[in-house]
Amino acid sequence: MSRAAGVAHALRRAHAGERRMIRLLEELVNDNGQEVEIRHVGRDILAWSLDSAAMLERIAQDREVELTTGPVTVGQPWGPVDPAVLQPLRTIFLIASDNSLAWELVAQVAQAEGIADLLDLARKRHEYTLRQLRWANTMIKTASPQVLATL
Amino acid sequence: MTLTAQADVVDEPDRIRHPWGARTAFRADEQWPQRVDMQLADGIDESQVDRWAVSASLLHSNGDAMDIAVKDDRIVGVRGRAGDRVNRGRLDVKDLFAWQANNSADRLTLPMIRRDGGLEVASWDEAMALVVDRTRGILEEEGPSGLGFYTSGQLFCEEYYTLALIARAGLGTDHLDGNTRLCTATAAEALKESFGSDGQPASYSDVDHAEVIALFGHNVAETQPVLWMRMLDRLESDDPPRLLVVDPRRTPVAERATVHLRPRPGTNLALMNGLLHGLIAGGLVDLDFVERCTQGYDALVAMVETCTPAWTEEICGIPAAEIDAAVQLLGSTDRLLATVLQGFYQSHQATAASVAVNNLVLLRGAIGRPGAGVMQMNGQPTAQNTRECGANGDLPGFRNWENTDHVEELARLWNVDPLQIPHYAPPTHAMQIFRYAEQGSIKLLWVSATNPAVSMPELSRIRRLLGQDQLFLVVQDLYLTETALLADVVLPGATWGEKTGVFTNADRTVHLSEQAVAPPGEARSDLDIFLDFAARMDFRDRDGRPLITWDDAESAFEAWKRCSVGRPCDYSALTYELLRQGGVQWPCTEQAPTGTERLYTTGVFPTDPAVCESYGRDLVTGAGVDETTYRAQNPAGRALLKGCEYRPPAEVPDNDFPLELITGRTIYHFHTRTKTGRTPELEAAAPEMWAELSADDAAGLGFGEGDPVEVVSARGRVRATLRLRPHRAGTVFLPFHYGYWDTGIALGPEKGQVGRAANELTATAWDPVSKQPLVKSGTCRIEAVAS
Repeated sequence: MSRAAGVAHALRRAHAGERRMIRLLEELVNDNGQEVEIRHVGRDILAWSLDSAAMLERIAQDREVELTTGPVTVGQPWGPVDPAVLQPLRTIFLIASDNSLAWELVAQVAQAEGIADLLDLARKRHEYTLRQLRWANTMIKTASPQVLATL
Repeated sequence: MTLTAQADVVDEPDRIRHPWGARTAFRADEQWPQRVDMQLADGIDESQVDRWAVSASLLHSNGDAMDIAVKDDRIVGVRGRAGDRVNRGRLDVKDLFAWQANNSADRLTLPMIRRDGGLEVASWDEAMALVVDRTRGILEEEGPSGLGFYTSGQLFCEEYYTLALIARAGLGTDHLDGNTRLCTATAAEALKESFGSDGQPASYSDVDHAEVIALFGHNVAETQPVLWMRMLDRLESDDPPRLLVVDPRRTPVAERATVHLRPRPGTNLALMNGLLHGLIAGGLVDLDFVERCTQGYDALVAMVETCTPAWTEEICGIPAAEIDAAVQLLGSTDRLLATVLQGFYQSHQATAASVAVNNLVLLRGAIGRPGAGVMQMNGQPTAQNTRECGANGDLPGFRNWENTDHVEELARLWNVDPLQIPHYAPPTHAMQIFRYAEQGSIKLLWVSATNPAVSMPELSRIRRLLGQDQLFLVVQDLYLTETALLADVVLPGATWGEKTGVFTNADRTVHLSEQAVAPPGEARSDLDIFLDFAARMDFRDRDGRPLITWDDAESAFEAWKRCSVGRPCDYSALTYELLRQGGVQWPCTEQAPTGTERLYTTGVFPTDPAVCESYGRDLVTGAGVDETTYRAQNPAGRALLKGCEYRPPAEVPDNDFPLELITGRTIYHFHTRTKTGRTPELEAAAPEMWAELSADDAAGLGFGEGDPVEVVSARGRVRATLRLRPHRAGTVFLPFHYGYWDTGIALGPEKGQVGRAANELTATAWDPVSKQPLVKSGTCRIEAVAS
């Protein structure tokens, strides 16, 4: 793989991940049957992913990297396993942790290749992914005792 | 008609029309003069009173000390206590008159049980046996997760502590909260985020010394009228403090402001970020204090970097020049007192905006000195005790549920296994407790001294969920409230003047309130009800002895003192005897036997990981900060500056609902009018629902003063009489007090029927950090009354 291909891979990976998160959160935020805290906080953390995706698109354009733009599917990593509200929270958690790895790749390739603006982007946006992850973790911690007690 | 309170100075004030009474001006650093307010029943004078019982106000959070007059074993009036530090003799208009509600003919005097669909009178034995039987059944079938408790901001310290012990160690449920979730949850959370622990930094006496008082969403004139009297008395002197008022309404406080900012509802955090930006850009930061006593300055600077006056103007709808003027005012003195209340707590991004006020005083180094500090206010009289004693779900004594040492300490104190005390997750907040009840996983909900069928948001939903057959609802109250009408068991409670206990106001002042008369009929104190339940449940400690080791108020207070030792809210040197002399501010210890006027005087804050009540939360998502991260940050006694980005609110005006809706209080009523609606003078002063709107908005809609209108949101519809007020354009205000018990539809409106409770219109939504419902974030429209 060429040096440019490494950057392109990391950008595509991060962008696809943020788009997956966007797709998932859009579904949850617009689902009136969903728990209100998920719908409401989902709006705010959706905005983070929208911003991150837009920033990735700009930097990809600058570097002439073509990103995937077709329809996105959320997918169910390892299938639906948890009951009730735990399932969507688990999906957020898993996508966020995968996206965290993607940002790690962006940061690493940016450092290795000495691309300052890309490194800056990774530093700034990785934090939002981690905040999405921590939120899902807190929500799972909070909701699981009751869900599991009433199975 | 409904009265409008007048601020005129008069010699013989009619306290309904002139609720703040006559002025007793005083200059900075002087002592606030005494003025004793008294109201006795017609035909009774002071000399005819048989005896006086010491007490304090239970109708707002100010904690005004008073004595209750008793004649022939009946309450016949009240008199403000001259020497007390909080009020120096003055009383709020509600306190002057609402004692009459104790004597109301429709007090509950016997328990009731639902039989064949209706509530019927029963004996205590029958009622309590039924509650215990249900509790045991649920414990056996579903375990403690099937039990929930929703209590109040109006019980006494001893009662909350007993309830917390029953729920946590007796039953082992995490589902315990107070209606303080609706009023002061954000205060508690903001204090934890910035200073490491709950606990009011400043003191009411800081009003006597302040040069600038900045009130953020705090209509003190109506929420804490006696504190406003103190401010008015300073304003009448020849060296008045200057006021900055942030409120979309033209309140009585705003009338006296040097600068009045009227932000668009939902944009408080944007405004705060704009003010912080102004202080930083203007070189108005006390860098020495910031360096020495805080952490997080650089991140805060970066966070507000783009929040210029132009940006703030655009979002908040406030002219940039007014924002500049506010910044200059805030930066003009080192005697800056900031106060915060529901305008921030019940609005979008509640905790983040309230934390930003803490940031503001920290940037100014304005804390821990006379006239300099912050007060995250309370709405209800005993909300502070709900929080301290753990009846809001937090662990008693401001202990941290994530700190194993704190949990073990509590377990030793209660002599139970630490695993018996749920501490695996944040406590279940009220909105979630109601959600679990709605979904059926909570099967028994015990509501004490509050009226969620009127005070919770989105009432059609609340009525539906409380009325479900699958939910066993226990309601403990003074009257047959809207909530009690839905109950399976109703327990008649005793109230203020009929029982003994202590409670603590919004500036940490503890007052004793002694029993003056016997409760009516067979009504019992909430403490006796909880103790009876505990005895029947036969809760035991790990050695097989009774879990609860006290049997009356004073012994419960002694137990609470032991629980508070070494914590920020240390009560250890307080006694009933000492409190009979007047209010004392905690911490009150051997080292500080007369109490503590203000916290953080040395610039050291309880943020040490071993001490702090919380490791903090993400201010946008509410996600917890874990212990390792917090330890690595090493706050070591420094206050935490925490910035947060502004996010637009979920519900913004559109074609269907073009107006912003906010709710709030009037000086004449408290909560859902259970007492004040049964007080002739107060009821006559504000007998009916109204809506406030600016004259321009009203003219645009073709309405005028006094017109009957219907206010409509996506959730419901209420009827109100229109009042024109110079509030922010596009903003509708509704008082939240009015329910249905005194209307023809005591159970509330059926689907399609027009209601009158403001919470028919509010949304099920809460701040993700404090979990406080956002009843001041919504939209509506105004229509003519359908003929």
